[in-house]
Amino acid sequence: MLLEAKNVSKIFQARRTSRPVQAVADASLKARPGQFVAIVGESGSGKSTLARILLDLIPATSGTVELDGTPVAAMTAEQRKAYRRCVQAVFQDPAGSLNPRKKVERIVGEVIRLHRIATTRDEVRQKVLDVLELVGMSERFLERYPHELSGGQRQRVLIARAIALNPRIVIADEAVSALDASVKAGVLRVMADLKDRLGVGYVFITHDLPVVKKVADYVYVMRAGRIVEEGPKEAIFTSPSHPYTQALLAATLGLME
Amino acid sequence: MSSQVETTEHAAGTPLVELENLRVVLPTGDRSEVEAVRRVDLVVRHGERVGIVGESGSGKSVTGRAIAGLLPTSPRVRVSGSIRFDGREMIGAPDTAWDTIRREHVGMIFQDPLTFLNPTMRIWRQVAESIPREREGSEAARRQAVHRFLRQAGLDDAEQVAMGFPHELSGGMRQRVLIAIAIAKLPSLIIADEPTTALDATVQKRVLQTLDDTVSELRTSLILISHDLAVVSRMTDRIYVMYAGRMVEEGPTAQVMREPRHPYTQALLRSVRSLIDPDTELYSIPPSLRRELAAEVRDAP
Repeated sequence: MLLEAKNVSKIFQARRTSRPVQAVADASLKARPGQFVAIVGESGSGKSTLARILLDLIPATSGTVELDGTPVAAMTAEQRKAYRRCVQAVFQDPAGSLNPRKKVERIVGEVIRLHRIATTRDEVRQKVLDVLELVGMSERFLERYPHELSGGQRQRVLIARAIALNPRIVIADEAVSALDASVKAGVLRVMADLKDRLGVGYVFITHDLPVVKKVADYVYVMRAGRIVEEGPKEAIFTSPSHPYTQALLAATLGLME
Repeated sequence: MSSQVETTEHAAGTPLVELENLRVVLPTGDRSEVEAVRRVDLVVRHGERVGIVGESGSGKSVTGRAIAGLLPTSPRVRVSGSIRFDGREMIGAPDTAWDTIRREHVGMIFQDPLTFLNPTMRIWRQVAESIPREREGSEAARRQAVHRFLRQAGLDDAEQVAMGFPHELSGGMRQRVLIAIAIAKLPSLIIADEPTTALDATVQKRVLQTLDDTVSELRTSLILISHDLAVVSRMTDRIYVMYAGRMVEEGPTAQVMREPRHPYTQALLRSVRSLIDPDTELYSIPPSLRRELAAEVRDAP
């Protein structure tokens, strides 16, 4: 399977009178199951807009997003539903993505029911338990509300909900950026584990270069809407060719030992 | 002459801020409350740079706010122990004494400058308001001073920035405006709470450099509060590590980074390093250690 953005551009026009903003310009990228692809860039680089286009949440102004050669825009209703199952999203703010009035069992269970992964009450519950186990959470979390969870636990519930549909690719937009180091390490381990065990692929959008260096296979660097450099992780980190990539790497603060 | 000039020229090494047995209880709901800070001792000497690190919920920000007298004023917020500022006991001190501390002695820099800046006021007025009244000269002199502080905070285009509004500035520029407002008081202490957490890496590095330079120039004491050990390890002489409202470790920054003594600090550093070092397996603090620490906190006197 191959998820591909081909020459995607996005122009936002806030009001008829204001100057249009080119958020994404002629961006192309490829993502596959089992592969950890990172998009790095600073705020305003267009990386989140590109993610939303990949997720089919907003349309591209030009260019196409294709799954195995079929443009998303040309898909039938049935194909599009399958697409939404295959390509899942995890966002930065878990509190904002979880309904505060629903317990974990219902939050994860309702997408399972909606996509008919399971139908009977017991089957749904079993499936919820299965995916929670995959992210390292036990049965005792079923009855919890989002506010009763820590930030890392909420983020894992989001990942559980995303993988409940057996997606091939998860698009994670700053999914670990707001977490403390220890919690971040835990969530990244869960993600790497799912890649190894289920062959999930990631499009991992972040400004956090050390994390990219740690987990990514392939890296795209975005600046002002354009992909200015791409390559296998080793190449990007050992011999970055674009001055912007070099500046990003130079700005990374390590521990003072 | 104002006393703050004396304090900035105070002999280095004498205590500026002393916390003793500080305890802060905050309401969390209608009937529930949390002991956010548990019997904390802390000293910041004149000219010293101190870091407070910890995870979210460790009580590091509440400690910083207590020092600046910025805790909510609800009767359900209970503060006990001792907060001494230049030897003067501030717990139970009249509001006017706190006003003087906040107006003249302590500059605060927060993570989110937009909640601190007034959106309807031009930048120059917000910086000018921070200049103590007794140093207030003519309008022209004040404007000049504002430009000087903005430039010192790394805003080379000071004249233009001064005439603008907060929404016209980028995140990094807003954070520099906060630095300008903080240093305009010529404070004896700057408390920076996650000052660069929301900034891009390239901007973060420059803003930290500016903070570093201005603190050195003014010989101001600094309390840097952050969850980011990389930032704190570069900026401070001494470090305090907090967990669940308690100080678990204190020492010279280099020594704590090299040879942490407390199991929590050891685990925290191991986890930070596991995110950086490509050959180490990702490590998170084991739940068993968190349970042990929680029990320790519960059983503490």
